Amino acid sequence: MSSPSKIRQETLQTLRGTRRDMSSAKWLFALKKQPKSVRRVAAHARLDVEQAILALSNAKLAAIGKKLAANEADLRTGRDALKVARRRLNRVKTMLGKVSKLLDVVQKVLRFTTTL
Amino acid sequence: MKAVKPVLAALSLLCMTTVLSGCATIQARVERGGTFTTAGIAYVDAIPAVLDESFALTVAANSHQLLLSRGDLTEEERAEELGKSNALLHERQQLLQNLRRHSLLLRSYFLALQALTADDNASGINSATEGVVTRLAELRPGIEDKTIGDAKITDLIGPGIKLVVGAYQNAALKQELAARGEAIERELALQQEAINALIDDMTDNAQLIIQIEELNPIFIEYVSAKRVSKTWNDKRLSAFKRTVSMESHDDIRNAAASMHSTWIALVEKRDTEATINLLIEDVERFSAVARLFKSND
Repeated sequence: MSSPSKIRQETLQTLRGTRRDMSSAKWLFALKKQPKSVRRVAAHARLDVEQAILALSNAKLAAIGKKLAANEADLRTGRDALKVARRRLNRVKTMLGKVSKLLDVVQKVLRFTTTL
Repeated sequence: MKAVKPVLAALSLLCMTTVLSGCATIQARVERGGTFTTAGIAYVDAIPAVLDESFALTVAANSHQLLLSRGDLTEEERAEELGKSNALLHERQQLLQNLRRHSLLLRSYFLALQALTADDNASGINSATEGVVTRLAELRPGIEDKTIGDAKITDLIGPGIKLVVGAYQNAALKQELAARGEAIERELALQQEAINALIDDMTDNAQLIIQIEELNPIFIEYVSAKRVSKTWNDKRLSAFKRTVSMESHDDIRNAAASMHSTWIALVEKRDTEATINLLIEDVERFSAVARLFKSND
């Protein structure tokens, strides 16, 4: 049994094929020779096909969008965790800077004691 | 006792070699992670151009259908049909807007991952390390000449810190891949699904537009005109070329597929320089297509 998304995809493909046929020069050429009443029905049919294509492809994008929205919390958590990891790494740099300053102080103290 | 010294020296050299080669492996993995995020950011940055192009083609195809039908409809019917089409296009615009907003979130994730794996961490720490070494040299003159085996102490402190940073970056990357590997895989699979759906629409709409704007007049001219114009063959050739130029849509599909498969390789530790290079090529082609879309605006 076909899944709803497969049925939607197959219907979409059929509708696209129909739209191409109904927009072809061959079709338009043949339609020109038809009475106004037939042309009017054909015009409505063409727009029905067009709107069905739009509705179905919108439904497909909406379904994907819904799944993407469900994934957003994980993305945010991941982004925040990575920021924390980066901050921790930066602390190493800060710590080395502090060591460097401490050594400066030690050096000054040593100079002071040697001059005494 | 004399015999022990060379053995110790050899052992220390072996340890140093092992540590440095481990450092290289870790660093290479972190670098590949960094390159992936750079490609990821370029990939996400190219998406809005596809969304815009996709919408433009949808509207153009819809307008053609409305115009083809217009002559056979009453004014009331035209108003009704235009209203229905506008409502559907408005809905499409909202859906594309959601995709755009979501892509920005994915971009911020890649940016955070890039910040963690970026080289500037290591170089920033290296300059801080150099500061410490300089101070030590001032305190203990001659330390810069001291050696362990054949290596100068000052040469070893830098790589040592780099190894620590690389190991930390690798551990953080590993932790993130373990924690969010599946979520990002799902995300990239969904992005790929959305891209494929949009490309299906774009290809179909573009073909329809070429048919109506170029192929139909060529057909009608050949079938019903009293005389076929001198440029008829040129117009025919141009229509065929436009059909071929849609191969660029495959570049977009390939980039989306490549992002997805490379991420899986990264999580499963199967990533190599070759897979990353392939991803870069695919994303570069995608970016070129996106630039082309933008220049056509």
